[in-house]
Amino acid sequence: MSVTRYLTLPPIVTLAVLLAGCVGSPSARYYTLQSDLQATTPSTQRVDYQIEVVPVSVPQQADQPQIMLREDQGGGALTPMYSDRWSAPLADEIRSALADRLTRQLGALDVQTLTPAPDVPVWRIQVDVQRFDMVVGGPARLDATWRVRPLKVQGGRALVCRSIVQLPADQFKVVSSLVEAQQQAVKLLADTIASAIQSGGANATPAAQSVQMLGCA
Amino acid sequence: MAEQTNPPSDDGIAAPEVVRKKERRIGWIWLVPVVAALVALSLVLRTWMQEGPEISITFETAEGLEVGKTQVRYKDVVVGTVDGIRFNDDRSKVLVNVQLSKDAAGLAAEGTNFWVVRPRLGFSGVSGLNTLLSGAFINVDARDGAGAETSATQFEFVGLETPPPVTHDRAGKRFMLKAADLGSLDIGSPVYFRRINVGRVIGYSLDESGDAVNVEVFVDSPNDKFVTEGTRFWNASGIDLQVDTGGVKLHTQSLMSLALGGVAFAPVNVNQDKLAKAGTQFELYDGEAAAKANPDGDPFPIRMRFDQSIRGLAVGATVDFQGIALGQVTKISIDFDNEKKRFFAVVDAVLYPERLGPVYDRMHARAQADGDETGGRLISVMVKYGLRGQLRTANLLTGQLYIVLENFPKAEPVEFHMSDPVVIPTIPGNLEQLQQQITNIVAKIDKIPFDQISRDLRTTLSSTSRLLQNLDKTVAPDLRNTLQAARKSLDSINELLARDGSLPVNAERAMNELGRAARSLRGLADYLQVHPEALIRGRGDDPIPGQIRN
Repeated sequence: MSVTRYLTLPPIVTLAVLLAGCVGSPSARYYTLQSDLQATTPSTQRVDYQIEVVPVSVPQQADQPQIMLREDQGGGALTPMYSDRWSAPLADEIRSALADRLTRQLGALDVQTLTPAPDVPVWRIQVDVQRFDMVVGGPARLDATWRVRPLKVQGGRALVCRSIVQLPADQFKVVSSLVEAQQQAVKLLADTIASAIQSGGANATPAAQSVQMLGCA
Repeated sequence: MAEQTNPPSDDGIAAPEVVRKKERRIGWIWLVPVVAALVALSLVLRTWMQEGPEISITFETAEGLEVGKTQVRYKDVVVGTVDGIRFNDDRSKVLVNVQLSKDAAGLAAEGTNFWVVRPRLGFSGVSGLNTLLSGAFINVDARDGAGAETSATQFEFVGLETPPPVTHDRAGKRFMLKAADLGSLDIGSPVYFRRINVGRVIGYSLDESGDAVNVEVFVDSPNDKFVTEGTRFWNASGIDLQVDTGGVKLHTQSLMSLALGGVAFAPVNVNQDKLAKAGTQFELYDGEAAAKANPDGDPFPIRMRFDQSIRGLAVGATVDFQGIALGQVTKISIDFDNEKKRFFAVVDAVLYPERLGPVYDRMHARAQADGDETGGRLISVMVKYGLRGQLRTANLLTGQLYIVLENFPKAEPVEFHMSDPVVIPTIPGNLEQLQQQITNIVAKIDKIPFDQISRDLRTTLSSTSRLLQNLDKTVAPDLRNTLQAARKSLDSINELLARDGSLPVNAERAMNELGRAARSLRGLADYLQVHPEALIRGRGDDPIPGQIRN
């Protein structure tokens, strides 16, 4: 009973006003790197091999649940956009986008999770993303070193390459345009890798002009 | 008549004074008997105070003693009189009451001897002849000089039947000699040093154990200073005749010793030159040769036990130590060991450790300083370090043996207890050891049952072949079945652990979920680090860097 005596009116009112001043959180938006289905044309050819996309590794700066934006001339400053988040960890996003595009492009099945038949040839694809930049108003950069290795494939050889994809983005609608640009970059990377597989590991052709190839071996 | 007139009081005639005379109770006449009584009392007192102690002496007989007449003399001075002779309770002894004078009261003390002086004929001559004329008297021998008593302390004495051989006032030392038999010694036999009569035998008695005679000798001073600890006494009675390859030798001490017997002494062991204390015990040797024969100090008896044959060992064989003949064997006997059920030889020997020379003196002095009286600790240390007795051949032709005491460092440790005589452990001789070892080996080989072994071997081989046949028939198919079953289980394990089996897939999925949970937690923690107010106020807007959001 004595406690209520201290709860006089003015302090309650100020507390309520203060609490009212608390702003709630803005709703979060989630992005994915997998592009829409209608944007791709499924390949009808059937090949005798299967592919296996090994989980990719991404740099730790980009491996955040929220989108990290980089300033144009900001030096090394990264800005986290807490309301714009990746729907899955970035490594899984890139892997699933790559696998999606590769399987459609090559017409082969992805046997990373499922067990292949013992005598079926499998191409194993390893990707190591070294740069995943989303610059405000500027380009979206994807820099990856990848390797294709044949398992039980006649006449195939392993190939290691490095591809740099740089695509421009919109100055307005910064985040969504950057995400779209990265989607496109992943697609181009997948096409490059597919060309390497199709050549049997001999060489890799860049899928577009914005793809730069460095040091294939 | 005339008027009777009372004489007036103031007539001038004084009234008579009646003076009552005091009656004397005691008359002067009583003084006389009082004085007489006092005089008598003083006389009695004086006699009583002047009286000396009254003692009683026990004698066998009262021959020559008369009450009131027989005097008691000390150094020919009359010190008392016999004033009563009576029997004791059972009439076995005669009690003579003697009244001593006051100034001779100190004579009634312990150690005083009384004897009756009568004419006596002894080996040393006739004594007491003057008593034929004067009558027998009682002679006293008491301690005088510095230790003399001045008051009477003892009142009952036992008188001596014969005069004591040595009186207290005679200066000199007494020594005890232990002899095998008395020979021709008697009380009064002379003691000679360099053929001079320096003392006499004053008493002898049979030892309690019955195997020796204790002879007490008295050596007058100043010649008692020649008796040292290394002196040897021998019986010099009669004639000492020696006939050997060197000729005939005849020794006597004196004519008196021919008749009375005598004891002679000489310092034999020059190493011990300390003066012997009074009452020291010496051994009485049979003759001069025996006394001077071994200036080797006290014999040290030892005993050894030999389990081997001692043929060739004779009494008198040497006991050798480092090349020195330390002693000889004195007795050989046989004993039976109940535990091992065999006979063994017991050899008694006597050692003369003084033959070792100065080292023995040092060891002995150190042992004495340590409080080790019998040398037991010293010997136990030596035994611990390997001192053993061993039989060795002295002469290969005759097979004579002798005993050697030597240090054997590899000898088996033996428990040692000090005993009398000291038992020294033994070790078998070299040849003997070798023989024993060969015998042991041969016995062991003999014990091996060779035919039993061959029989067992044969049965083992046959059973082994049977076992192998069994294995082939029964065990092999079972083994094959087991292997097949094992392969089947391996196949099922393979299936279980296949890439797409439920086990690894579920495990991987669980790991993935765990990783994601950790990642989310990490993200939350990182965000809260940057915006801790987000817990209350929520997440704020994210402005696009370098741009104003429209």
